[in-house]
Amino acid sequence: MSRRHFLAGGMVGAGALVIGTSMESTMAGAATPPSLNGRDPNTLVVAVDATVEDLDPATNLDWAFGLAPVYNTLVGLVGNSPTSSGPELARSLKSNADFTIWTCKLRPGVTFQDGTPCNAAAVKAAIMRTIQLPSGIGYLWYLTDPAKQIVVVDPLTIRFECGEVRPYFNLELASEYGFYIASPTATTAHSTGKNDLGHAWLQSHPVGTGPYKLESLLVGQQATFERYDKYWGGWQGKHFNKVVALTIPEPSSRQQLMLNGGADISFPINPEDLVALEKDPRFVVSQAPTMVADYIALGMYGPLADSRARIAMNHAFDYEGYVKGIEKRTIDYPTGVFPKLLATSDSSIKRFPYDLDKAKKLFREAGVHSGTTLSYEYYAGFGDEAGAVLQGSLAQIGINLRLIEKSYSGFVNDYFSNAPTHDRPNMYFFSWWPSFDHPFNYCQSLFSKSGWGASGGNAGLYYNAEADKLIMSMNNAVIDEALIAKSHRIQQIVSIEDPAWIPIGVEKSNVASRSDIHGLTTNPVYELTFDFYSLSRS
Amino acid sequence: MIRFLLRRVTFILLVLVGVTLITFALERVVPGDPARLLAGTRASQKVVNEVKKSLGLNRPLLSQYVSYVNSLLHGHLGTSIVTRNPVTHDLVQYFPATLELILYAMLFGAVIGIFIGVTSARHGGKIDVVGQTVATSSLSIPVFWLAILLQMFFYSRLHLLPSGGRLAVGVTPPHTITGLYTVDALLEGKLSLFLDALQHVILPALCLAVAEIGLVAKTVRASMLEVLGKDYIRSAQAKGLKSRRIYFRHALRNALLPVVTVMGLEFGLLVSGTVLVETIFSWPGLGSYTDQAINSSDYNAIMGVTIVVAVAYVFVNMLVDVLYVYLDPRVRLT
Repeated sequence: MSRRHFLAGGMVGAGALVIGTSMESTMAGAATPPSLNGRDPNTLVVAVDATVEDLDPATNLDWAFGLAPVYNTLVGLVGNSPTSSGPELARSLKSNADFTIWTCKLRPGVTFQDGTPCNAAAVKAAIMRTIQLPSGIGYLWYLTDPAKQIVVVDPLTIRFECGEVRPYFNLELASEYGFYIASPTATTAHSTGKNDLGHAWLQSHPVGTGPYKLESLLVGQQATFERYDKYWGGWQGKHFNKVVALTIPEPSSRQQLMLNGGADISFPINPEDLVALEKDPRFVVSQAPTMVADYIALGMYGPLADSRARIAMNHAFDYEGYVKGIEKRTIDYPTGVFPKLLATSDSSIKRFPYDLDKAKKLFREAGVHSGTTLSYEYYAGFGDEAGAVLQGSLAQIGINLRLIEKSYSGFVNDYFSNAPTHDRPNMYFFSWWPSFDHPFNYCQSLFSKSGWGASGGNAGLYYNAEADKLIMSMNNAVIDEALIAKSHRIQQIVSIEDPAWIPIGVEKSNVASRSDIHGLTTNPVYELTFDFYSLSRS
Repeated sequence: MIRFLLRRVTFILLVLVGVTLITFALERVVPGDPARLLAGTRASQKVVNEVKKSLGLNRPLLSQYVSYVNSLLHGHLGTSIVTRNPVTHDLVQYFPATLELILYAMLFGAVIGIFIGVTSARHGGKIDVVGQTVATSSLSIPVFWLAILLQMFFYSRLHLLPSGGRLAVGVTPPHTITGLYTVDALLEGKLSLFLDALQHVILPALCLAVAEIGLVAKTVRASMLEVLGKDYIRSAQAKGLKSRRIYFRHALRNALLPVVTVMGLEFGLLVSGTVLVETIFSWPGLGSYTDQAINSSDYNAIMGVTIVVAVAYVFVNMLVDVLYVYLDPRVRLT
């Protein structure tokens, strides 16, 4: 039993004993949100599930909510669109005809929070540092010789000579991990050597160009950001003066904090609690679709090597029971292996109907006999319910499913391993989303041979010659009708004809906020990262 | 006494060698890929290999262990993979929070447990049944369940105590002297800050103390009943001493000896209990840090926590032995 389950069970028990404790709140009926209990209305309190510990954008790849208030990227995604980028530090970003060179015109007069100018030289220095920092995530820039490839044309113009066709370089630069610009003056001043480049200092002393600067960081407790008066966006209009990211790891504690006025926004909570908040007029639950696909990767070896066995597995998954019964519709039904929002997704692709007779017949045809034992690996707190649903269904047709729970680290070790097929489980639970909205970015790692084992996210060692060829032909290709056709064909093969997964759902944003908070927009690419500057309280 | 202390310090060193060796071996045996976690799930194998090399994880195990012990002897516990801070720095941040929680839990456990135990032994009958029921229940209540229950009751319903954290939002912590907010606030003379910190520690400490309450109550009761049957108690009664004096002056002092041992041993249990309690009450201590470290195969952090907890455990039990001498003059440290 996972910790989440265990705690959820406890929550139910506790709720039964303390009669009416939370019901009173949810049944209040009034649209006025709970009292702030003396809290400063100009301070936004966000209950997050993890601690803010690393505020260096060159290394932080887990929780961008701590970076977003302080830093800016050159361009950003506009509103909730995953495909249109708009100006941030750059006033414009334009490519040449063949998309090999991108020229960026910077916004004039922007200063870092340490008072130094954010000009072309500073931006180049910041990017160079990100790429050169050992153990950093600079590889996401895909620039092999950045010193030459990033050219300072004039104080406000910078040119990226990509050396290859990169038609969506603008969307890449708008990604949240690895693309924020930190003050090079600050990092240089506090660098202790080439292995550090100011990292140790920047972790808890971030210096960016964003609307808020870090006021205090109580590790494991809260990070407080106060407004940066010289922010280039100005402070006209309604904005919060302070933003506090409060670390509350336990979902039920986050919900109680919301119900009692202790927080303005909460990261996702348990499905049952989320449904309760959704019905409560004092709160708004954003259930915008995301690009995060939850799936069970099917190992293309052993009993599931035959495509009929993998189709049978899809027929054996009770979507209704899972999405509606367990997840309370806090996730969306999948349409094949592509999230619906992916620009080239074919929404006509249907999932396999839940049909155990058909599954049994297909298993027999594929040579998977009754009494066969399959294995399914997941990590603590994630994938357990899906495994239980599948286990129940398979048991009805004589197939045993062994559930293997690992710690996240142990799971990652297995998922990205080159272990031989006899040492691999038959199935893995995992979630994935594209770094930016392009089918190659999504498919290459998941469904091509180049993403097998340690090389990517294709843990099931999936290979289909036609799909592989189509995927590799999409690299850096412009999205046009031909590419859309290719993408649809891949989706058809990988979802229906020769399935790689059981796609079990597409996550929703599931962010709860008080009804007096305005301006909350969730972008499917920015997972749980908000534009705090655009938020206000009525 | 000095010989005893020297021997115990030597013992601590031996414990440390054993602990580092066992923990080091165990964490390497359990599958995990810290380099992949550090580089990210989208990093190429090349990048992951580079990270592995930079962490020294590509070297033979023995070589890794030798260099770890070498760093340890120089006072370095390595760098955490998750926080990317020196582990020593992290421990300085997280340990005081856990220590404060445990000290309050021990205090609550001792006071409430002794009260229940003495009352049960003194009155017997229905009061004893109630006391025993409370003690047995407290030993069998799941901590996570109780934590949520207390949170809902005292925070959501009564609005008496906060739901979690060490201080209210926006409150600046006291300057670090001991790292224990309640103590530091008092040392700074900030009463409102002390009260705020105290309010925050009550629920998690009570929750953590629950099992200890049961154990202490049962131990005190049994011990009291045994002592109350001794000849010197009968003599005291025959001399006409007031029963209050007999119970608290003569019986309780002797009955407390086993409690001291129990509390010393309980320290280890309390540390392990912090993982759940700190998670539910958002308490930024070693429990949360350990949970995070284990989930990420953060070898250096796990080693650091293990060493600190092992040293603290041995130290507390050494303290218990010394306390014994003061509580019972018949005991000699040999």
